[in-house]
Amino acid sequence: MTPNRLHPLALLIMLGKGLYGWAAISLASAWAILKDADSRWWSLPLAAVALIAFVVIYVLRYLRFTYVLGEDAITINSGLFVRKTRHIPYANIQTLKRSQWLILQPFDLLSLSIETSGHEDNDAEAELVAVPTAVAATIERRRKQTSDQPTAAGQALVAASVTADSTAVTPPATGQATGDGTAPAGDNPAAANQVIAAEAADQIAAGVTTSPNAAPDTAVPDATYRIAARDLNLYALTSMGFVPIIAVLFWLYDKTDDFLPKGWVQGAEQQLAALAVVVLVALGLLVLLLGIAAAYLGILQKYYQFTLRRDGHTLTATRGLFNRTTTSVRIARIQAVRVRATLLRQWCHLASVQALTASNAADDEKDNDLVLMPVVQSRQLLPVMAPFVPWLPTALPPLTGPAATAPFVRNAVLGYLGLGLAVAFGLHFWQPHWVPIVLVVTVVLALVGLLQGRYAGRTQGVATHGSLLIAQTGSWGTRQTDFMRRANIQSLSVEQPRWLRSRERCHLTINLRRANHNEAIELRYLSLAAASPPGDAAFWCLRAIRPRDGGGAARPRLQPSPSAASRPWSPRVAMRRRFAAGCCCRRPWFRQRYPPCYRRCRRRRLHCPGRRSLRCRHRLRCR
Amino acid sequence: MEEHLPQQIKQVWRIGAGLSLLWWLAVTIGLLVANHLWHWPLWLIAISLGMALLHPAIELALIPYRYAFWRFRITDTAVYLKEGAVFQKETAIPIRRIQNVTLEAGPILRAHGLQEVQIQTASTTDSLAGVTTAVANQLRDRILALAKEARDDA
Repeated sequence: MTPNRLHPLALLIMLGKGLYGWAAISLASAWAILKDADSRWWSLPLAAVALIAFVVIYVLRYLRFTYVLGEDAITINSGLFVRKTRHIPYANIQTLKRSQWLILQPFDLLSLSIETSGHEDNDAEAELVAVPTAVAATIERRRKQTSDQPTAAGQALVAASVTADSTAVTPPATGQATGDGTAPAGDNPAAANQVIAAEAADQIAAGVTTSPNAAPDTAVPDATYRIAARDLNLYALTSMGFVPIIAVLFWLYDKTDDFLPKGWVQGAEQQLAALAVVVLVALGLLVLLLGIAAAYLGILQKYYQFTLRRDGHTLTATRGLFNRTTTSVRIARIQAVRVRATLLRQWCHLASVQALTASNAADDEKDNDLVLMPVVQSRQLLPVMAPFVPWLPTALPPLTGPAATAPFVRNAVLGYLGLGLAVAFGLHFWQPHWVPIVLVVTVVLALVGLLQGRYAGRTQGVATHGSLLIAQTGSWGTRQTDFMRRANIQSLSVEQPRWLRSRERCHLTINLRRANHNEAIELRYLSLAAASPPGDAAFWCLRAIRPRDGGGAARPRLQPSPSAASRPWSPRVAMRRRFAAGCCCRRPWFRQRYPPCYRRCRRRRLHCPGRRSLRCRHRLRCR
Repeated sequence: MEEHLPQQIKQVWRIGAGLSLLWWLAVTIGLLVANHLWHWPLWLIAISLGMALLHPAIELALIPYRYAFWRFRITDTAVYLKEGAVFQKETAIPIRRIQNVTLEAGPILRAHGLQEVQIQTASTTDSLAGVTTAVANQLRDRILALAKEARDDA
């Protein structure tokens, strides 16, 4: 198969991106060069050489970039000095992000960003800057084909990707938490195999039942949602995005005396000082309005004609005016669904819905989550989302709040007071006349902390719904509700300081995978006396109830809970739990010594002659 | 069925406290040199000297407490790690979520015949500070076998 090069327009886009990345440095150095007339004789040729080298490097990079769409995987060769070959099996692709800038539209090209679940930070696994639309359709089709034939293709893919691992430069990592500071597992082939096997088993277990001739994108989707103009308008109005714009404007104003001639700036300042206060206030308001308008228009063009559709097991979100972006993700890969609402939007009864995935399907630089719905009425949220994410409940169950809100208030107030007093103490030695101002600000912040603590205490809540865990937290005014499936919770941590023990309260931390790192959701001051979670947090998390089995054959693999003394079982219940635990032998040394695989039914009958197999959990499997 | 860490880990922790003492002393000497050459303030040296005395002392004092309250337990369905008495923290890692078990040993751990067991899920890494090599291999094999069985059952 001959390798394909990107479209020539890709070169322009790459150059543009490179210039944007170097914009700050190049502008500053250009200004420095132009200012200093003495050194112009050597600095100008140097700048010209640098510019030419820049362009040449990008041209060479464009020429060296080739890709091949194989039967099972995409192979991408890139790199100027260090040749890099990336081998991505179709089945490993988690998210495909398509974006089409306006200039690419007449040529029927788009930019493709391919993500798998293990890759480098902040970078897509592979990015094809300008390829024909047909290429994206081919990749999508082949990805669906592989997910429809799990048994045959899965094994082939496992074999292919195992052999590919030895040649690929970037093997799929097992998603380590880089923030932990521990050394990563390294390119451990056994681990990679496990992950691949796990993913193949995942697909098999997901029970994909779409027909082998999987519907291409043009088929009728299972569910579609298109944002209404009124909702988008309200969303843009309630965003607080103007704050950073105002900050940038102020920063620019601060830098004007570097950029503009001195005499000009002084003349302007003198004129401003001469104007009346009213005019100054009007100017300030004008700047504020400009900032708000810029933020408003920015959001409008970003979520213009936002459409969410579901095709079988894939969700596709399309948005944008100047840059039409399409991101698709498989529903099985969603780690959690997050509903967020800032304070302003809570007052307007609006919320936005995001999906936390294990890959970096970034909508913009700071938002690593796939937006499922930018804005929706809070009351209609769950009914609207139900056709897209089937495991969401249709109504929010009542959430159990923390045991008391007073600790939240106390912590917030003490935190602000402590910070303010420390700053005042430090300033006392350095700038004593600032201290009263700092103290006044501290008192104001303490009052703000009171409100903040009260809000956090009242917003926090937790509930279980079948195999879902719903956790709601509110800090800094933003309410965030997470819906996570038991299967996606990576680990749980229950913390109980000594002084909470008498009151039976604890803190619960839930760990999820988000993009390439860990997302810890912390619920504080939960009452242990309440039902699971958190009192039974670990216990609840580990119950292996499989919803597909139906009610009757559910096999809870129960273990005695960590604090067995607090929950005394009668001997009969204990025996029943032991049967359920997988070995009906009542000899503890046997259970401990022999590995679980040894306890399969037939052998157990040999080694546990006293037990009747009617009681055996594995009776169902024996036949 | 809760298991303790081996006794040798206390010696390893003591050596760690000694190393942090050395580090703070190095910082103090650096600040002394800076004070001599460039007249850096004296209170920096006072702070680093104070830390050189306090930090290792606190670490050494806490070693018996840490050792006494650190427990771990591996069952069919999860790995439980419990630490602390004042801030008691129990972490539960379902076996199904465990992706990888890594054994790691720096020079100090190796000298005492211990290894650090890192249990990795898709997003977190929890570790047992140090267990003997035999126990580490056993733990790793057991956890991976349980994980494999959990996945086969699923």
